[in-house]
Amino acid sequence: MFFVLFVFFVGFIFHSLVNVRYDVSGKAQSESYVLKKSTTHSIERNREGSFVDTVRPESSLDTAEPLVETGIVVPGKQPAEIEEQPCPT
Amino acid sequence: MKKIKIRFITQVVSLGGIDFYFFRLKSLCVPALNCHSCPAAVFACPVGALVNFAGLRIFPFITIGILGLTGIIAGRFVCGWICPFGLFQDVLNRVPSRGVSVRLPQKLNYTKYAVLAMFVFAIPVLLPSSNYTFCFFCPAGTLQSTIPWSLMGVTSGDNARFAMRLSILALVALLAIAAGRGFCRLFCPLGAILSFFNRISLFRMRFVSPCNNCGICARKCPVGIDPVKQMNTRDCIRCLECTDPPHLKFGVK
Repeated sequence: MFFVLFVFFVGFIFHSLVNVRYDVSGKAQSESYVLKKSTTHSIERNREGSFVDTVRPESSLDTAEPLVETGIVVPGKQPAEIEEQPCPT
Repeated sequence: MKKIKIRFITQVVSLGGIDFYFFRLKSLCVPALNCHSCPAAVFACPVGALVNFAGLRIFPFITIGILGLTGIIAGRFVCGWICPFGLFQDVLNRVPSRGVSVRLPQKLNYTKYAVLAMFVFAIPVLLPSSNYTFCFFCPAGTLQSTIPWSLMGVTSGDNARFAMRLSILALVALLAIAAGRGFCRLFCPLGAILSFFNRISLFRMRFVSPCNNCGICARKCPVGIDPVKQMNTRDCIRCLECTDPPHLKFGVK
């Protein structure tokens, strides 16, 4: 019983590391990546079923359009100051 | 050195490893109830991971794998020796309570399975946008995240929620003073998951000499079970305090 369950759970981890990939903002990402992102609630599932990284990577932060001063969000443009925030629960 | 001191030292060292501050590995969860939003957290919380993955509607292979491996090797051993929130309760249980001691009915122990089913799986899956998951109420999250972040000036901005969380933590603290590991017995969803492995784990409790009915082990048990009659039941957190009288031993069965 022990060895069966041991192999079963090791298989879970191995399967995740080798096979499991999720479409996150158009890139194939591992479960570990999703786990890390979920700790700051910075990943969401969109209507198509794939995942959206709600925090943009640093490289695109540099080139992002600045926020409109009035606070109106322009469609298709994200605020440049978004950072991964801790969840204060 | 007495076993209780060794356990305390192990718990403190584990706390230092889980909340090390200078290191981050949140793509991995540690099989103990700790808040990954804690400013010093190194790892992800397994319960938080299950809640988040349920909300995203994906199967948490790594988290289940880690919890399963932990459980199949030693059952709820991590509850007794590694869990930081267990340490919090153990310390509070040492507070002199002037004879205020509560023995909780055994039937209440099933509450944790309802908490696991409802607040870790059902609500996040059925109502992904709902806040009312286990993390919303988690006293470990309040202790490790809400309080430190609020001291650092970061809050959710919801005072009613903050007050509710502090109230829950205060109630759990009172429960720990009066009834030892009351939270672990009644509400901990991680304990509920690991409890399924207690009877089949590689390392288990066993008799090494005949019981003389001295009752010491039952009096020492922080979860209020009688280790002689209820050996390896789902509520045993494997703290090994019952092994001081040399009738019981923890080892490979």
